[in-house]
Amino acid sequence: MGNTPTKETRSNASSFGGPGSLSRDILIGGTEPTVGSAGITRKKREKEKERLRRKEEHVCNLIVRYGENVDGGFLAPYSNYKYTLSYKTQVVRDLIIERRLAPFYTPLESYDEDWTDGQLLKQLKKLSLHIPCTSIELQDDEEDPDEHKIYQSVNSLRRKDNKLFKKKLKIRALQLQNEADERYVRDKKTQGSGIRTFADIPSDDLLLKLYRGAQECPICFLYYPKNMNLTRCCVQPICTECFVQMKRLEPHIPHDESGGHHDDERETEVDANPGSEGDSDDLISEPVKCPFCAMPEFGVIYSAPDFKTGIGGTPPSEYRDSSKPIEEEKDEDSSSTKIASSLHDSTKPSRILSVYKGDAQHSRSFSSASQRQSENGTPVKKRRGSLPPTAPGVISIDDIQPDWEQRLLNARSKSARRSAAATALHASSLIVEDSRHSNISNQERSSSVSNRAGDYRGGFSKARSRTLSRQEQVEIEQKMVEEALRLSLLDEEERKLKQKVQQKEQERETEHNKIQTDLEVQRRASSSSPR
Amino acid sequence: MSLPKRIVRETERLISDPVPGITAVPHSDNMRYFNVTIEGPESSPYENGKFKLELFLPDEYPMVAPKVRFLTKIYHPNIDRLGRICLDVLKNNWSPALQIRTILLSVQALLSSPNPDDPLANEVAEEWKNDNVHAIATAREWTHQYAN
Repeated sequence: MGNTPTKETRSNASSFGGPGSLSRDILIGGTEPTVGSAGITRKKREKEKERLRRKEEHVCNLIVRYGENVDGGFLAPYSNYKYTLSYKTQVVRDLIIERRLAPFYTPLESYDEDWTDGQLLKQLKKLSLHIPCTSIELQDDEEDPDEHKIYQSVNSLRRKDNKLFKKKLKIRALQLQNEADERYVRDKKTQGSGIRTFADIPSDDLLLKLYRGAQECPICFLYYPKNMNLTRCCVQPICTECFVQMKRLEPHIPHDESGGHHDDERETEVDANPGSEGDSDDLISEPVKCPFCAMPEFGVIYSAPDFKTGIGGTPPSEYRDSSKPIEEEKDEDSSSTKIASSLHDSTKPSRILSVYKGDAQHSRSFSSASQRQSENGTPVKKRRGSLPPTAPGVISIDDIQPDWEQRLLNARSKSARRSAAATALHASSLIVEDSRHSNISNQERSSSVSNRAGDYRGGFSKARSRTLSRQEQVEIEQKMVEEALRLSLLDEEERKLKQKVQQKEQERETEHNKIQTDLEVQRRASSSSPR
Repeated sequence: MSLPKRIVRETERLISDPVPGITAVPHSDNMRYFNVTIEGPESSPYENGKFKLELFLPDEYPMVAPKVRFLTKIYHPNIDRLGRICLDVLKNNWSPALQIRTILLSVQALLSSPNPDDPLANEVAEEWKNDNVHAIATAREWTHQYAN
């Protein structure tokens, strides 16, 4: 699908963080599930391979590696939530690297403003990269519907293969995550004992700068550095992990406020009664609403802190608080230092509850600091109350979960197919009904039933004319033609939408590649410049 | 399996700072399953009743709504014979910013203001609209009979 070059460029970026970072592991090299049927064309197989590769990449991208860090946070979630994540990992990684979305910070379970620096550091150093995972979570939950059947369909074989693949992937991911965690702990320990320093182990200054004045995410109740994403509409904080959990509801028919439509989704789908045309087109998918104020088209905006570490910045181990005189960043001049130190002052105990007000102030001063950075290509945002969904810098759920179009499409064609099947059933039952009404013997009736399939084709054949009146035949024929037309129209629509989705995907890829090259250039520039 | 911090914290807060007229106690063997009681609101036909409910937090909570069901029989147009509740915030209007506490308050509010125009129990809703006095009397009677 034209995105083979991404892998190489990406591995550049991931090995970016310096000596401590890991080379990107390939999860299950060459393991392809054996597809159990012979008649699969080459194209199909390639498609399948591509799908598996994407899955692999997705899982790989969800592993937290301490070498991949941005401003003290990471590119993959800590995983407070145990269930499967469906967001586009590559998009989110890019957004984090571009500082348009807060990185995945490791959360603190509790935070007390009265903690001394030493106490806070002690808590912070205990943190791991990822929530400890156990093998219990590897147990699978769902059972295949065909499990207990004597004859297993091709589909169920495929599902089985899929399941096996998923399980392998899970186990491998778990191993990789544990390895990454161990490495982190080991390197931290080594650095702590003063034997040597690792570029990607954050300095105490950085940890304190980030977590002093930590804020509770109102959804997961965990504490994060105060540079959180803010909702575009009501300026509420939300951590990136909660943000990536949000997604559109499954496609459903519009909710009728006044009518007594209960258990609506399921019922109409099952009913799919043949008379009601356009059932499938009724299915809609609505953009996610803000969890706090229910404003449609939920989006967040992020103001990065006034320093840059990790990818696209200085090594986190070298970070010194800006109130101290050591400065590595080129774009930091005296005025931004002043802002930073005034920021530091404002993070005193008094602001535990006045978070929002305080934060608005923060982001304002952040943005004035980042105005200077705008030459770097960092988008400059100013927060003043609510912002429209189209405002620059707003990241919506659809940006990170763009597959809703595909899902809506699938649901629609599924429902269309169902109603087509129901129509066919209805039509054939009409024929049977007719044959019953006509004055024919039992034998003939049964033969007409067994010939039902023939009726479709032989609508005009004279042999049938005794069971069906000419007019009825024409009617049924007409119905079939209409149905066929409708289905082909639907297919066409599906094809178009698929194309659109693909195009978007490609655009995203190119954008991604661009970011990677930019970063590469930046890196070269910064490594060649004298320190 | 460890419980997400959010559930732990919500449970703690429910116990340390309970909502008047509402209790929610988790099972000792499954901390995602709560025994709930809600007192019938004043000046409603459910007054003086104490209704038992069950509440379950699915794995995806708080990204999906908790599952709540009445265990006590109740005569209400938006609650069916099985105790299932028709309430927008339990379905499409769920938001992860809502909590167990807020959901139970919404259920309590539903007892104060039944909505027969969006019924779950159709016969009850009909009665509610056609013979309001009788419906309310029945609700009161059921409360007296079952919700003690």
